[in-house]
Amino acid sequence: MGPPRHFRLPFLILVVVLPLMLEWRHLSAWGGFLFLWSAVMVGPSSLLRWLRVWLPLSILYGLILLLFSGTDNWHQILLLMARLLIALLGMQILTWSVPPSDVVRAFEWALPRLGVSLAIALRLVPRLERSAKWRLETLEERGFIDNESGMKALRTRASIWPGWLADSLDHAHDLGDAVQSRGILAPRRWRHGIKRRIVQLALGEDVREDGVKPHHFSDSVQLGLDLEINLPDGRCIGRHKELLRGGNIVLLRGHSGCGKSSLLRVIAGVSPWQHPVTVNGRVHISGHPTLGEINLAEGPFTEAISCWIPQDPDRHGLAESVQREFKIARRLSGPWKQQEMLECLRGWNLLGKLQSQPEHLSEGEQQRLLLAAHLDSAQPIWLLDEADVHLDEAGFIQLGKAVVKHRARGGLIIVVAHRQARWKRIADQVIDIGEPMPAQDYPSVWIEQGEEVGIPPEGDLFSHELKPVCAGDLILVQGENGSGKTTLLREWSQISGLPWLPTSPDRRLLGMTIEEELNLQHPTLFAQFLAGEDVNIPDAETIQLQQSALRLDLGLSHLSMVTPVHDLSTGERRRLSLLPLLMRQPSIMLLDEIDHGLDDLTLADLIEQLNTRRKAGCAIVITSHSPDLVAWAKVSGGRVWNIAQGRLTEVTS
Amino acid sequence: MTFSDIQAWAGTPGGIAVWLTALFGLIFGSLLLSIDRRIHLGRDAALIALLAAVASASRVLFAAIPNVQPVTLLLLMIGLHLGARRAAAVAMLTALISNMALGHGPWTFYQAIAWAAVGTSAALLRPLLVNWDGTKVRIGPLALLAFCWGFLFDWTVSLSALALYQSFEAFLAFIIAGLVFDAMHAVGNVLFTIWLAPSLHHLLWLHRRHEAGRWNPNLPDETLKREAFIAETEAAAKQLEDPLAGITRLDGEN
Repeated sequence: MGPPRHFRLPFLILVVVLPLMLEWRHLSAWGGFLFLWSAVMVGPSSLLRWLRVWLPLSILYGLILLLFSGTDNWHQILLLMARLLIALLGMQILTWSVPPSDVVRAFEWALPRLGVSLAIALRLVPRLERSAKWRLETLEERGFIDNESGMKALRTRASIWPGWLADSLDHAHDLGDAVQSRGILAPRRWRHGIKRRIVQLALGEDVREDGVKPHHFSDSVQLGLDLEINLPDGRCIGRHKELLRGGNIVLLRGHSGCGKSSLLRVIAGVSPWQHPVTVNGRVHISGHPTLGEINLAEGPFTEAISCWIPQDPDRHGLAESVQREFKIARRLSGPWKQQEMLECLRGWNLLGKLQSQPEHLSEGEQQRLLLAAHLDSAQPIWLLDEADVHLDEAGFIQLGKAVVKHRARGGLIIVVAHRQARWKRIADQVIDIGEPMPAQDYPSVWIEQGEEVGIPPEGDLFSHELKPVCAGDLILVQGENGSGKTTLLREWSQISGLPWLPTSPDRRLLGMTIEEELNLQHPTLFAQFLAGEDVNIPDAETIQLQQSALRLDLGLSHLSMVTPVHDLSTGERRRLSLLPLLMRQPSIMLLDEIDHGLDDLTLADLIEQLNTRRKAGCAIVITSHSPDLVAWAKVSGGRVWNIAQGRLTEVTS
Repeated sequence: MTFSDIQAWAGTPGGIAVWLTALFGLIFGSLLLSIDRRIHLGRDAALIALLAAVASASRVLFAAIPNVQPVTLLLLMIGLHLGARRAAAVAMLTALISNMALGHGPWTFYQAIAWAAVGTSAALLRPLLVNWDGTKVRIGPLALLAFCWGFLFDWTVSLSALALYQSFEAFLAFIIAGLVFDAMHAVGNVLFTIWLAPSLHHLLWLHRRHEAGRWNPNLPDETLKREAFIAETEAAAKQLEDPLAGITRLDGEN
């Protein structure tokens, strides 16, 4: 209902300039036309809401002029106010009718890279709001706010903003890396010249970017690595000297924080310094369809070097809708055709989510979306960084099919995975970073059930006839992606006031540095921090000791207090976010995909901790897709619940 | 129309509004074109996006308190750490995004211009605003600058109303009537400086530290020496595989 796309700029000039030139009669006709137009476009109620803001303001400006300008020509001032109001309405019509994605597109036309910034900013604004909400939830979960007076609560809330901003900065870095690795900053390759494009545009034909057709890669696909990755203190977190060839699936293994993800970042051609690391040496890629031979030390490259699927899908999705995620994907193969996209969505079981916003999808669905949209068959090298952790069995099979097909095409696939059993079956080569890790059995313990401690909520979302949860119970919740496992934990937590740990540890970390985070893990510790060293708050020392003991158990005691929280590895952040839960000693602990980002050894340590809690009478509820964890739960005498179509059932073996 | 006619028109409020807008547009546009060409890393694009998103969200958050918002301070900090060009880019995106919620108007352009000027001033006055090694921000001078910009920013944005009022007296009256709101902006800026500036400085310093990582095409000498040593040892071990290799037996059984 707004002005046609190509006439928006002339319309803007018209609505600003025309009222200044018109006198009463013509001005009222123009104003009436605009009012009628906007009423039809957005409805009278929206128009009235707009008037409620701008009419009083216009009257105020008029009064100021009348009182202070020394003129008594109120006719002239009334005319000025009418001109102002009508010009504003004209601009508002544009605001109402132009969707943000069109603003981005117009922007990209003039300033392509700032257009990318605008698109990211529009995606970040709602994420910032959600991130602030998670932090306030975390504060409440840890017992802040509830017991505090108004001023103190305000002060506590204000104290979390540096951590909020640091998390946002980290998220922006992730989005920036996604932009870089997908070649979104590269100039577009159009199939035809400008003249031809103008004709096509005028005729309403599909004007498409040029792409590279997927083909069988020759033997020339090779990746030569001779590099070392060093931390700022000089500590080496990886020395790699390999020649990897196309037609292979390579599995990278190593303990948490050994530099697997950093290596993939380097090969993806994105900033290697997710954390402030230095890369020494060379990486040489041959067989790239458009760039040919690449020496990565000569970067950064605006073109996509390889197809990189990073960890944490919720931090790397760029678009505001599923459809737009496909539109900006696959810069090398060229944009997706509609039919092709629909078939791909069907394959990944996402067809019903076409109109959804990515942030409303579950982690597993977001992971599927990233894989569906961004696995580019024209790219010779695929880098999958724990790409399977959120996937259910069907999702993993789909990923496995895509990977095996790419290998048959002659592509090179490098996989980083902690739960390797499924990958080992198809991997051609296994590379261990650092000392090879011994096969680890998860410690199992059989605990007698205690008294009843709770039961999952039953309502519109879930129905069940489950037996209550008892002290010492271990419950593993299974279900397909999007079946509602996370929703179950969240609802349960809200209704019963239980603490829960979401998949992404960043949702439960409040501080900018480790010291800030540790202080914000308990109200007493925070009070002691504010009071200073001279004042001794009762219980603070005991809680601090308990916290130190848990840090030691979780392998976090070596971390420096001034280390920024976002410089830690995913596994370290997960353990840090688990600390306040263990300190609270709740009757039921709700943990969402606890194994993500943890190597076998660390996971075994963590499971040992959970076993200790179970012995002390705490029930543990975990969601997971990992077959290893399901096996462990069964060996430990745990119960397995399954969610399907809103129904929660107990699986009996 | 003669040259003197144009000269006379250029002195009227409408004329001033037109040439001032054109001049500002040229300067601002060239800054934006320049930063657009300099963005080669996705992280640069994303950082500008994040800062614009934070500034926009904070502006909308404080919209209930008239003329009190932390955007001016944010732009000062961005100019201080990231330079005038990036500040101009953030200023433009902030005006565009925040006014999607608060309402666009002729002021959108002038807000962007004014915030770009805020960032530029901080970039130019950097030696006065941070200590000798750039690790700490000087709150006093920064608060003073933020206070001044409380008034200057509002007066710059008021230029968008110049064409509307059509007389200098009316425009002056408009400025004078808004002095209370300007003062609120200035005082708000000072309070935000005291509250937020140290943490913002720390955060932007953290970001710059991340950028300090680099790629050296050569391996460290220590690594080369260690690997050479390992290679030599391996070669030596191979030679030692047959302890009798190279030894001529005296009993004639060779």
